[in-house]
Amino acid sequence: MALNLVSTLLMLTSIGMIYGLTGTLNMAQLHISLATVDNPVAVSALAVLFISAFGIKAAIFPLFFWLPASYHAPPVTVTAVFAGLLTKVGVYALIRTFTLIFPTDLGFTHNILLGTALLTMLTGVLGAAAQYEFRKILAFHIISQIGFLVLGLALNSPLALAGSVFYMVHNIVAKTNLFLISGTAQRLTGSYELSEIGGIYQASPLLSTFFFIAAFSLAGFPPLSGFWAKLLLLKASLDQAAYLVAAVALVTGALTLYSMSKIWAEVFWKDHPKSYCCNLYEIPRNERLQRLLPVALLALITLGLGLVPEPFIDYSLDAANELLEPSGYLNAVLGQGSTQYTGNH
Amino acid sequence: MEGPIALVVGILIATGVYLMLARDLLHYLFGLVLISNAANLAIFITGRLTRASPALVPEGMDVPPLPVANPLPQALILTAIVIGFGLLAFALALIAQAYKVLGTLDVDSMRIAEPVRPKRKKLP
Repeated sequence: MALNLVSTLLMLTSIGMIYGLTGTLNMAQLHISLATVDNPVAVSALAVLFISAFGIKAAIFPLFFWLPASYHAPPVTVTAVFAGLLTKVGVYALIRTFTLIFPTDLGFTHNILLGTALLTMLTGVLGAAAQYEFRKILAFHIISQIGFLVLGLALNSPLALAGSVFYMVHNIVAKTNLFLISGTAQRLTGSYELSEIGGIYQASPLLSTFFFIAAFSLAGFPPLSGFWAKLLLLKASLDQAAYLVAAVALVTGALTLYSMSKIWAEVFWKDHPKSYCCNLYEIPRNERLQRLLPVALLALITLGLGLVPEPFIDYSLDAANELLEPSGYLNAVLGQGSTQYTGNH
Repeated sequence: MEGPIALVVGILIATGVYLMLARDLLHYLFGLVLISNAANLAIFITGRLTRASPALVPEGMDVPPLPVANPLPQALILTAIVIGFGLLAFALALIAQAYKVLGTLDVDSMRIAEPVRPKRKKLP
């Protein structure tokens, strides 16, 4: 919470500064008037302030430390909502500001974003590989996926942004699902530590199937939704001949697969260390339904996104084009034909 | 006038960061308060400091007589002060509760979420 306050203060200050520089806070008008500000250094400094403010919220590379330290503390349903939404809001804010307000100095801001995106992907997934607690592994994975989202923004092509948008939808669904499953796994086996639990495949093949869908979608297995999202981002980076980026993305995918199969082997396949075995049907019927229904629903959405990706990719491409070509937005906000308006400062 | 006030903002932020790096939660809170006030001050001077009247529209006129002070940063800060006050009260309550439960305000000794582990057992 305290760090969030700091980032809020940073954001507030930078918003104040941007007002001082341009005399407006309307995002559409800022798009126009920031391009005419004759002080590029101040604009770049503001851009960096915004990156750090939203970066704390989104948990990108040097600012992610609060996330794995806090996500395993609250009850698992709370964590599931946080994991699904909190960091994505930060990325959403980043995408909005850096396509609409700050497209002035692309070489500068987007190189920073690209570097942090790559480092975020790698550190997140390496952190996950080193953990042996169900929720901590998932928390570190959030960081690495934030890297993918920011990567789409940093590449700054319609395809890459579409990849980001699609990835965000896929990731919200899959990640929330994984945290919910980890809660049910804890209810069944009594712990989150990988070494102390096991045997869930025996207890409930159904739950295991749902985990399989969500986890391997996250790792980017072909028919599932994560595959399409990663494919879009990979294709975008290869189109720009950014081979290093593509290589990092692939390595991250492989390491994601490693820690997901670690969970799969330890929690679902291995026998429970204390021969006591757990049975899903020991849980009262009502609670069982409450636990399984949302998980099943989210898994179905993941499957749907994976099997029929085309309409969703089309929507993401539309969104990306709109982001990169904001004249429609400007007209809608400022009124027709007002794109020549130069601010009031 | 902008120069000296900008300096004050810098000093406030530096003091705030110094306090926030302390291990004592109460120091941390004071640092946060200082930084939030510094942010408010910074926003205030982005509206430019001028000798001007408040932006009040007198009766019978459509616009206030010029020159008027820029009302928007002031409105922003007014909101920020209220929210900041609420947050301060909430954080103080949290800290008081933490002290009641844990008996300490030293951040390093609050290890419920991440206990110091003995050597980990090897996974089979």
